[in-house]
Amino acid sequence: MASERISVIKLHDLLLVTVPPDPGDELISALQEQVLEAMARHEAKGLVLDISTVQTLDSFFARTVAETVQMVALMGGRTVLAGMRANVAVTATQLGLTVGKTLTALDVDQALDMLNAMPSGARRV
Amino acid sequence: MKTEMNAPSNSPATIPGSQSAYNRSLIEASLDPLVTIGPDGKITDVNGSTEAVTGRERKELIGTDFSDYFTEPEKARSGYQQVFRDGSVRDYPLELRHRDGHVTSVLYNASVYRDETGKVIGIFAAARDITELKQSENRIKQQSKEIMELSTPVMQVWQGVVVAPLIGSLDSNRTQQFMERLLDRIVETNSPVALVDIMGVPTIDTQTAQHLIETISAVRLLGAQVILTGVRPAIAQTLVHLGIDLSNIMTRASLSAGLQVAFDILKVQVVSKDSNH
Amino acid sequence: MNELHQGEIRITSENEIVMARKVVRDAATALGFGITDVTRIVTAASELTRNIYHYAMSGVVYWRELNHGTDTGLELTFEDHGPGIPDIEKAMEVGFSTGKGMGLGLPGSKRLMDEMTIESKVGIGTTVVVRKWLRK
Repeated sequence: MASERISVIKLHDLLLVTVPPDPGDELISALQEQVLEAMARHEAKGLVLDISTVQTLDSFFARTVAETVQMVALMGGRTVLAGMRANVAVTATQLGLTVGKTLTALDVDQALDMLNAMPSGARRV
Repeated sequence: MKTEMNAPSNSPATIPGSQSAYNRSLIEASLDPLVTIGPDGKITDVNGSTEAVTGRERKELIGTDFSDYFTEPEKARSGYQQVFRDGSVRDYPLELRHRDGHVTSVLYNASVYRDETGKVIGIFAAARDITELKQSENRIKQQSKEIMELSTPVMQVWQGVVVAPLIGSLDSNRTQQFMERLLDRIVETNSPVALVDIMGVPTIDTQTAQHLIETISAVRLLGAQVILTGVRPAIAQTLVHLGIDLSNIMTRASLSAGLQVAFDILKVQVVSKDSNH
Repeated sequence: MNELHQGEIRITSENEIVMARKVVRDAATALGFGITDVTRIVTAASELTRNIYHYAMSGVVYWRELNHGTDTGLELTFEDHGPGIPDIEKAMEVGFSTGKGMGLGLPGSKRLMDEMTIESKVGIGTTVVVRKWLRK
């Protein structure tokens, strides 16, 4: 039973989600649903996933994030993964995870700048 | 030096006559703390060095639990249990505590000893004081670490740009350390651009190239990017011959060319002060 | 401080995957592993624990401190009575997955840890043992 809920914050036409330090599988799946729901409700053009407090990034988390990025793109938005920790990046790389086409930023500020610099309605998977 | 002893029957000192006195002298002459332990884990005999290192007299120590005199009694206990199980143990690290509190790092070498029928009647253990050895080891470790850091510096040269000149050959360990330091510095300085200069790397093999690519991949996950600079003709040849795909990676021949790209990315423009020219 | 330096976590639901991560994180940190190694160990544990849940629905994760002379390490054992792995070599191929996964769990965990052994019999179950040693 997920005792934490993910909060999705609307910043103009962007969404900001702060992922907690050690989310369980149920919460990670709930994140995907809530994000898509918020995308529809606000017709947002972008999503920032703040992972600056996340301690463990395993393949389940990575797959769910990758799926979410694709789903958000289908709904007309771009996603930026922000603030990955150095030790998490080293481990994720060693696990075999690569960034692929997902955009990344050092922090939430840079992620927002990145999305704001994009023309509205840009849709690329 | 004691010549009169009340040795319990388990002790190796119950050997008749002058042989006994000779053996005892040998045992007492040893600078290493020596001890014999019974099957119940209780001390059956000690030499003068053991008295010195524990700060207790022989009569105090005999009959007490061997593991009581260590900073990690459980570890000491599993140590002598291992000897009973395997027959001997070598270089088992423990820390002896003196009565006054100070601690001595030792390595224990121990083996079982048997009676005439071959039955195990106890353990004979010798400790080697490794305090000085440990100090030297720590010094060397510290110096190695410093050398590693000095030879793979990651410096911030501008707001948003770090430069890491790699010099010398890269082995697996060094590249691993480099990757971790580079990523830490990128996060610390919040730099979206990292210039990794390999002008000083003489040769590059498949494994090193793989490690470099891994490093670049990890930097991307963080939200920064790497510009590989100082790619000499020889290295360029090797990389292409090895079939390494660097098409996703930005490269430039020189560090200064790389810096120019960094400025472009960060939308920084360098203007000469002397504007008449 | 735990005198025994070992423990176990019974896996019966998804919730225990988080618990396993927490327990392993505490154990690895207490042993003195640096932050990046702790992350490696916890990530491998997460992958292998999820494999238990995903393929067998239940199992056990054992952890224990290793002391071989002057070396200290952490050993994790992942045991289940699930369907077993028919082809271990194939399972170690990156990208191969019989479930919904990315096929990174087993080969990835092997890269993150120092040692890995897998024993599996179809219809009986699987035991994966991984170890990491403190770098000196």
